[in-house]
Amino acid sequence: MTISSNPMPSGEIPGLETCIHCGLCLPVCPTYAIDRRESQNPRGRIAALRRVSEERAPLTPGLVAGLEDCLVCRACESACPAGISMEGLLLSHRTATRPTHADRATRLERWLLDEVIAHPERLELGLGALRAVRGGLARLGMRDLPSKERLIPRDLPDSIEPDPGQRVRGSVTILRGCVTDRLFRSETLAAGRLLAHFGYRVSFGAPGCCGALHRHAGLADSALRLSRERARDLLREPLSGATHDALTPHVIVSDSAGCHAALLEPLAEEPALHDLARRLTDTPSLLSTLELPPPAHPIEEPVAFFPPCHQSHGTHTVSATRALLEHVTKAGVVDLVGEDFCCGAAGMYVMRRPEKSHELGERARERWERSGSPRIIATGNPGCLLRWESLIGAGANVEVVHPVTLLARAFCGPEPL
Amino acid sequence: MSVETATKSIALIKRVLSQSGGPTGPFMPAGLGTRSAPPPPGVEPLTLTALSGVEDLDRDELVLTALAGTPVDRVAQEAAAVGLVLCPLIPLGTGGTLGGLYASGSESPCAPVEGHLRDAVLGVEGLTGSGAPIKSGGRVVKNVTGYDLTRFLCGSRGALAVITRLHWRLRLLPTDSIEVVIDCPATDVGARLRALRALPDPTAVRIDLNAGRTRVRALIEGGRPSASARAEQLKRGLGPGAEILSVPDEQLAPWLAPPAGTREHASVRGWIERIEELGTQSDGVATVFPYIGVGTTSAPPASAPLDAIPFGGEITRRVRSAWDPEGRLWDPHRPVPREVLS
Amino acid sequence: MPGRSDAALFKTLARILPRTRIITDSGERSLYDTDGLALYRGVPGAVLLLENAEEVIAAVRACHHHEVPFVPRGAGTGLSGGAVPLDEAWILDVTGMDRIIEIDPLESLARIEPGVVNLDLDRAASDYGLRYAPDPSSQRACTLGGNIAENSGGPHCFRHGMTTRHILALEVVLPDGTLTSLGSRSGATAGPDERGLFVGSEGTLGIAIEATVALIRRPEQVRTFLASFSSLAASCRAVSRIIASGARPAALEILDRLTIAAVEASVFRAGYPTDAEAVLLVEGEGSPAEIEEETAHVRAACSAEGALTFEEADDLEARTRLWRGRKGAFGAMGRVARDLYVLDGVVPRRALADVIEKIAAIGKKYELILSNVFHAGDGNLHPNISFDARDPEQTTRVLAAGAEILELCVAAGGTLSGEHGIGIEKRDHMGLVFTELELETQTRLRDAIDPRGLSNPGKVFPGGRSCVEAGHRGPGHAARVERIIG
Repeated sequence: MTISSNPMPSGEIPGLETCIHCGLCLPVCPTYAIDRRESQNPRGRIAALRRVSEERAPLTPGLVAGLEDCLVCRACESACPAGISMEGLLLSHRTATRPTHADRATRLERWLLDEVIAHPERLELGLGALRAVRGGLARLGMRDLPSKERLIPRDLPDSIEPDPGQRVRGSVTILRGCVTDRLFRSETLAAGRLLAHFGYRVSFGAPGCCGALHRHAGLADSALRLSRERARDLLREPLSGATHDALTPHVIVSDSAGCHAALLEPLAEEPALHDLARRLTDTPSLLSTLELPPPAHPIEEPVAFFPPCHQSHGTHTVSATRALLEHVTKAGVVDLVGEDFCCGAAGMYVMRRPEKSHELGERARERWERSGSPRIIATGNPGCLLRWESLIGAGANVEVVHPVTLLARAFCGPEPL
Repeated sequence: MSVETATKSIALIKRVLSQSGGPTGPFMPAGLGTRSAPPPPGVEPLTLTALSGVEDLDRDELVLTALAGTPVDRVAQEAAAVGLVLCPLIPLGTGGTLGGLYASGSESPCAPVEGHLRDAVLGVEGLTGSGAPIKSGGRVVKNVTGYDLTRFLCGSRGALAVITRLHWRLRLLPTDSIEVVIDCPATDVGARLRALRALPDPTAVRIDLNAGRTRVRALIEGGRPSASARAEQLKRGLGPGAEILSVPDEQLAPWLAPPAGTREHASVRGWIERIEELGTQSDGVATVFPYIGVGTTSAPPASAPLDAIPFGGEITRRVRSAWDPEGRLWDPHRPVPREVLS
Repeated sequence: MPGRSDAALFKTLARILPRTRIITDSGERSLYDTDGLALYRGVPGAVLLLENAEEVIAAVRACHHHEVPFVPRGAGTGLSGGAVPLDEAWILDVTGMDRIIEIDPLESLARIEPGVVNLDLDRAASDYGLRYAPDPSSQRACTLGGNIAENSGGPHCFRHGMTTRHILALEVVLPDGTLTSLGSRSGATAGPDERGLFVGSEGTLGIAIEATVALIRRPEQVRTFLASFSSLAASCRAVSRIIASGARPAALEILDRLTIAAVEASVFRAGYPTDAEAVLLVEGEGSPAEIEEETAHVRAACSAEGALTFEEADDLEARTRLWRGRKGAFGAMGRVARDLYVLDGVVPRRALADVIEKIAAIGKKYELILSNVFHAGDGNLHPNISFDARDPEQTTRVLAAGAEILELCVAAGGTLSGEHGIGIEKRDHMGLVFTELELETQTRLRDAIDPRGLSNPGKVFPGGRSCVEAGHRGPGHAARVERIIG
């Protein structure tokens, strides 16, 4: 009698069999917290999928809403004693049903993903257009728009040499991403400065989408194509003639929790992607393997740490980031009180389900306020950063930053202009 | 006229309740008469003292089974002989019958740590007013099979059922008992209770008020080194003036039982106010168990007659009429008929 | 009266509740067809998401008026089918009533709405150095309303008692809409303990809309130990020895080999030794001196029964891990098979070792995967049968084995249920414990409180008028509908 092999016949979607509806996922589900109906919690979603897969029963509008409203924040996965991958279940379902169950928002989402975001030059054009109309949209009440500053990207060098005097530890390629590359170049640069400061030779590779958003939208083909492309780019030999410690394998860093988590999901029969997943980490995790000196420019104020869902439940690198933040702050890290629900950004969710997304954002803001409204908010995912910037609002005396920005500031000093 | 119906067997009680001829009641099940007033006129006592005996005492499983008319002290003696005591902490000298203790629903001052009296009873058997069998619970400590009539009938005062047999929980006998006491003015009781609440709960807390002075008393079961450590901790927590005294075995029953007086119910906060108020009266006397909300005071006795004492609510009323449509068991609510009074 | 009218009920309620809180979508309704027990199903006529006492009162009165049966429901984590709607009863879901109305540290109590999650109350109480003691394995998810209905237990009930001991007062809507208050803030009752009757009545006597619950001081110190054994029987005997020594640990829990394996393969990995036949989890609480005294007894008892290992959790994290493993054990069994039947029988402690052996034999006889995780200190067994409810033949064997195990428990001097309730699961086994006349006394009581039989019909008592759908729902499965008509 073994545990790993399930003796029972499986349904169409793998993973459905293991739920015995113990209910431990209920209290961690953000959508259930705001709408207490069974179709809005993981147990209900699995039951709905079982209906389809095992009973060939049609999905009724109520069930469709429940499945579509899932943020894929994966909080239930960390709560599930049976180890069910809600992400896997939902993505299989969405992949199978997107062509037939497409409301207007979903169609727009697919168009944006396939026709714009997947193409760096079109994304460039799109963001340029957004820059032009941003003010107008904001006046119309549109939330979660990137700030004007973010829409004017800084220049990025091809590579950064390790700081003189540092022992060269190895080489790192930083995943630039697509939207991240356009809107979060300061953060990408900060990671580069930080890694170079500690002796890494840093290259930035080419911009491009990893397909994470496509996966979550059920566009499995696009997702696979894009992640293959990224693997090809990233696994190419680093800078020619690079002299790095032969014992340290070439490392790939992604500090966008969403992209990082998506690339960790090993795709069957794609050895290149397995290799990518094996080499992938984030900057704080990489640094936490070193003996770090005290920071030269410690952060004076308390820092509110909001771990992105995909860092908590996908990359599982929260403790490394938190420990480093603790290391560089004088006043300590503040863990937000209350339930650590998703902030509602959740990739394209903010566009597809604006009301629910907004309500979750307000809850996140309340948590921050109940935690004493610390003046610095650190979170390591592009969507979460935009969400918090929007929640706090321009002009407020509060800074929303990526953890690597704080770390770079603490170890390397103020950002060069 | 009152016909005493001595009952020696459960079958006989059943016959009495279900027979159409002969005495028709209403009956009031009675034990040794230590806990209830005598039956009002027109109500016949149904004396159960002949229904007596400890049927089983299981030292390993810590449970005993006894007939309802068994004197509490006899049960306590048999338990003590094997080093056990009836839960929650029912010492020798408690008096009355086991059934009477149960049916009167006496609150135990040990409730915060040991549970109420009703939590000590694992099972009950009895008869409804129309002679139908009642069974609930059993001899195991966890039991949710069927309605919890074991708790429901605790405090039912013979008005819903005739209790015939009880399964009662036992525990190890404390080898000795100690109390931590502090004397203070009545106005200081609030502060003392607040201090106590921040400490591990003692087995029971009692306040004695006499002419403006109060003594706050916390009972700890002793015999093990850890008990004296706990007593020391309480003593420190209660502040200067607190002292540790021994409670001799024969004093334990009086310690846990309030003396006669007017019974009052109030919350902890309510009792703090009440004691302050009584403390200003030169003849103010009270014994209070604040954590379980009861006490007796020297206030003038309530003028309410017996039939106005609250006895359950809507649920009790409905169950009574379903179980005993002919009213064979006495009704604490019902005013005594005029003709009976004359 | 014109008899049952769902349409009229809908019309009445649509005037009171927003349309979004009346679920009629057939797919969504079907998600409410079961609770934590996969054996029985029934789809509700509708689901009402209620958010305050006024809405519950109005809903109950409307159901009564239109003669529509109803089932109160919390998180749906119960394990005896108690929240499964029979007769197309309507579900009154109170999970939205999740306010902690007050916490009073001086009186050591809290007032809560029924939808408050067990662990949420405990967390809120911890701000005052207090705690809510009953801790069912589902405490992260289950609601206190459900705990009250089932008189739930949990590992720490060994020392602190079941839910009923911690409920001081209740505000209740009887099935005909009558409001009544039970108990008091001190827990004392004047006359019969109506509060005690309501707790554990499995939704058949109405709905609690508010509860006053006792909080107790958090212990000064907690220490958790893990002993492993080469046989399940030895671990049971160790428990008897511990209790006989006079030690009163807060919890005494046993997990068997298969359960250990499932837990160790899950996110709740606790570090239990996978080569042991059983582990015993012991928790001591109180003052350091008290625990020290007890530990000596516990250690001696375990070594007398030949414990393979005896370890203490070093810190809070290690302790939390040991407990997470225990509390995730049921869910982790999903790794073994699609469905899990968690049984709940009680035996006298001294019979534990013997009964456990006989249960294993029953499992073998019916060729089922059977594991054990249980509250050993209370003699409360949880034999778990892993199975696939889609297989009717297998389901039949599961039910037969379950029935035999219950007979075994009763014959050993125990009972049908220690903490999960009777629900649908055991209603037809009530005859093992009660005579027909004894049952009639109980049903008379129920009929007096609920003359129309509307509140959670078909539960607790045998031979109900209600239809039960057994096992899996899907087409193509022969045993789809089993009508049990009394």
